[in-house]
Amino acid sequence: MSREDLTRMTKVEVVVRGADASLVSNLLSSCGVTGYTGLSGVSGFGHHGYHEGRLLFNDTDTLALIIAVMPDDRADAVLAGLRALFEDRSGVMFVSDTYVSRTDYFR
Amino acid sequence: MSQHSDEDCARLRAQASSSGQVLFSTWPIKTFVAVNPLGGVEHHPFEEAIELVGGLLGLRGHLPLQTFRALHAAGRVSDADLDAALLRRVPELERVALALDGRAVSGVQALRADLLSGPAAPARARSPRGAAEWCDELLGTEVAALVDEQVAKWCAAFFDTRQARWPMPGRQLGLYGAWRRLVAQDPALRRLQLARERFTGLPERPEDAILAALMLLRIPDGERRAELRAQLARTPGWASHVKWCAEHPDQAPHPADLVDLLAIRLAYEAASVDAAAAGALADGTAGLRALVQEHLALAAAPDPDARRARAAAVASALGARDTASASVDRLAGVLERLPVDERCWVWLDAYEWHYRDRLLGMLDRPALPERRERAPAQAVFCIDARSEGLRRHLEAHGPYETFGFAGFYQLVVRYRALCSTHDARLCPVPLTPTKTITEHPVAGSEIDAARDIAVERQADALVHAFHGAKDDLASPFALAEAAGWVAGPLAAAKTAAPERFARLRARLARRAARRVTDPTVDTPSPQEAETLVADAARQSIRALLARPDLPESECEALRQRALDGAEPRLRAALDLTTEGNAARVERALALGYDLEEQVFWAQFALRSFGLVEDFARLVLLAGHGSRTENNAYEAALDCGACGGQHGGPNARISCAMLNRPAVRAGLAERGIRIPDDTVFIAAEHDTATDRVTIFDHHTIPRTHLAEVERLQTDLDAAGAALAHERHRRLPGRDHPHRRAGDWAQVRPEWGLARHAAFIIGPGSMVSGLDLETRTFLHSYDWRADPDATALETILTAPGLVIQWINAQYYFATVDPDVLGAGDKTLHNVVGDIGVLQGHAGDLQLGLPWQSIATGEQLYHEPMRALYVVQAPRERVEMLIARNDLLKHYFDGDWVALVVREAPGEPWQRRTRAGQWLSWRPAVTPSTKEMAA
Repeated sequence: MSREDLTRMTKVEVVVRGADASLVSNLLSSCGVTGYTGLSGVSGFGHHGYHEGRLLFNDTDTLALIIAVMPDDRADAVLAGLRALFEDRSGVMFVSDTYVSRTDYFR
Repeated sequence: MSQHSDEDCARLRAQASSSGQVLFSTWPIKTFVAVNPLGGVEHHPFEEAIELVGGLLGLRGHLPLQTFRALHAAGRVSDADLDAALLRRVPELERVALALDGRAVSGVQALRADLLSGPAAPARARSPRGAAEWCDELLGTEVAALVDEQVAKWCAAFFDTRQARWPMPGRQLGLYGAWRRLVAQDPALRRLQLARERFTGLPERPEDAILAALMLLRIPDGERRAELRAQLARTPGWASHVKWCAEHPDQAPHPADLVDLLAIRLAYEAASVDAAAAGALADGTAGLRALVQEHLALAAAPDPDARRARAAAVASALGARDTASASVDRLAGVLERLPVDERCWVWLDAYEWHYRDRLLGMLDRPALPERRERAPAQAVFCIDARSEGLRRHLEAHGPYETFGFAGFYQLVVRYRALCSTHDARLCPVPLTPTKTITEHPVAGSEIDAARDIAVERQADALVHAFHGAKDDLASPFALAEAAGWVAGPLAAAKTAAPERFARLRARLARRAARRVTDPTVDTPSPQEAETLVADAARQSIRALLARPDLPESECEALRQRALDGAEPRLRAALDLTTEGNAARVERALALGYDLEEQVFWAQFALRSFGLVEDFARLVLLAGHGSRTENNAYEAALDCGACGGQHGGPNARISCAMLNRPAVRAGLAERGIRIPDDTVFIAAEHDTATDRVTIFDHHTIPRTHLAEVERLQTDLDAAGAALAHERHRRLPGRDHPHRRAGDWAQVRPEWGLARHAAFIIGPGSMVSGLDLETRTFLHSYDWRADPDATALETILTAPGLVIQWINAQYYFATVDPDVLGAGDKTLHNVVGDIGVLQGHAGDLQLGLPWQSIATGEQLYHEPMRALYVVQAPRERVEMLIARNDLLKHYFDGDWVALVVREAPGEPWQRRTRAGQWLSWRPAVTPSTKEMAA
């Protein structure tokens, strides 16, 4: 499929502890990112062992995944902020190129 | 001022937010729920967490050494307890012995003497400290307190939502934005001798302001995080509220986050410290920084004499005459196995196990004989410790079977009562409601309901106008003229005879509320949704036209005319348009639970507290709440499981579902057969007066009326007995009934003070035992829970809430200056969010002194909770392994854990390292000790 009519942007995916999700969203908003998608009750396996997913009556003790897409010029600040965050919070981020059709949503 | 790059700003924001994570979020006082003050560092072990945050906030983390020693003198902690605690902490002490003055002394004896008579550890200085604090310490100024005052002043102005009649302008710009607009005109600047120029032309972005201030203060990059943390720690109350606002932007009225707060704070600090340093030192702030480094280097050097002094003190306490010999040196070596600053943890451990040994001893009895006949009624109360008393007294009045179940009955809902204009979130605060439940009048009660709504609205409006007029600038005088002749005598009556006044008011309220309602638990079908919306519209028409008596047919005719395009006033005011109607129908379809969901809920709920067979004819489901007067902390006394609200609606919703034949049919398919003659009834326990009110009498079939009356009589008797018991424990002469109505009473009830343990097991474990309302109980039968999901839920949901409550009470008791709210009589409420001591200063966190003590005498015993679980050990171990939360609590020593599979088997205690050891109570040491 051609990408001619799509605009290239940067996608950032962040996996953090549920309790730190609001830090990430606050950072994104302050960098001018227009929106993000957050998933809670995420489980996974990694550096610190296994993290169980959704508990029936407890939203805070799991992992969260936050996905945000932004124009490249805004990405630098976001990445600088996230790297600073990971200096003393656990979590990972994945940065990739992506293509979007509704550019006005992301500017 | 210069602009910094976006990247630098983002980096700073991340550092600032991260610094705030060590602080906890407070919930505004109107929904006060107990949270662990050290929740931000809960994933660290208990002692480590206190170490991390203690220096920052100036916490001790435990009772002072003198208090522990006094408790020992009073017998609350015995020598046996101390010895057992020492061996738990330092097991190898058992094999250690030495000779002192020719006599044999065991390691345990030596350390016990150190605990009782050793010199106290030096007080720990606050660390890290912020720039202003260093300035005060090294240059003799008083800058830090002045900055705190300014920050607190602006916070109080910004966050106040109700009390002030002249609100702060510009709040939509956010905390920093609003402050920035006004600060240059603040006359306080002159009083503080701060140049106005420093506060004009401040940067628009708070990050730029912070970076500029940090540069002015010469804070190097590597110390930036420590500096930011120290700044926030100066006003932990306001910082916590700001953090809450940032995490819940939908609930906070105006935007604010920690970056804003730091920008304001650092602007004042940078200005003051720069001015002070410039005056005192040749190279200003750079010079100050150098002094700080010097001071830190000096303070790090350890005291070489402390070791010897400690050994000498212990030796003389043990009766040794020669305190300079080599054996004293060996004694010092033994003492080193317990570092001086860890002594208080041994004391805490001994203090805790003194109580726990007694509790486990009481619970260590063989199984009670199986019940032979059907109980007249089963009663389910909240796990709340206050219910323990009610269950105990009720069981004394008849062969009732009682259960404990989290008071929200596993309903994660938003509830809108008929006469209410907003939704109440009726579930634990970490959860987000997924469903909305409303109330509807039963057939024939619509006119009564409309009348009640109109009366409530009028009463609300009157109260609002009264309070509004009180706070305005000129109207209090007019108010006194107009309403004084009523308000005066009313106030006098309330003061002179509070109990009678409360009873009269309750009686009038009951008579006034004529409506009969049912909770709307079922997801409506499309036709039903239309009907619901039409009903609600008709009620709104009656309210708008102020005609509560308007007959149905006329109302309906008006509604139809509005929808058809006529009646412009109704269309505009009530959105009675086709689109508006369709949207409302859409929302109505999202209400309630469908049948499948109801059956699933019922099955899980019944399995969770172990009532899956042998149902009685009556099953009472009770929520709880507390009705008191003039109490800013009233939410703290309500049901924590229901988010600081009354639990009555949850009980009503549960009964409505469990009484439905379709739900029972579904349950039968899943193996839970409820007999046809079993009726569920809902009630609410008022923990201030211990009165239990049964709801919804219209749902009780005639065949059961007599039994319900008998049950009510027994509940009344049990409640009276419990109130009498509590009366003895409350200070002063006033009976709980009087206290509940008395608006001058600072302590209407003790709430959860003195709680100590959480018991998870069948009711028969505790039946007949007097546990002094100190234990939470969640009924649990592991054989009815094959896949352990019920136990997992109990440990991770109520288990979490109870740990928060426990931590809140613990820290408010041991560190009341920082984590307690002080004397209630000096409190002033700020908006809906919290209290101040007096008229200014930091927002007060935690529980007021009256919640945990009487005068100088502590009532609450600061102990970490003991969780007692009756279930196979492997099951519990498996749940710990797969839940980080439980690993943190049990491995980290926040909570102690004992388990046994069945009565008669020994209790197994889980150590920090995950080992299971058989519990044995502490043994009195032999009296053959060194003569003093």
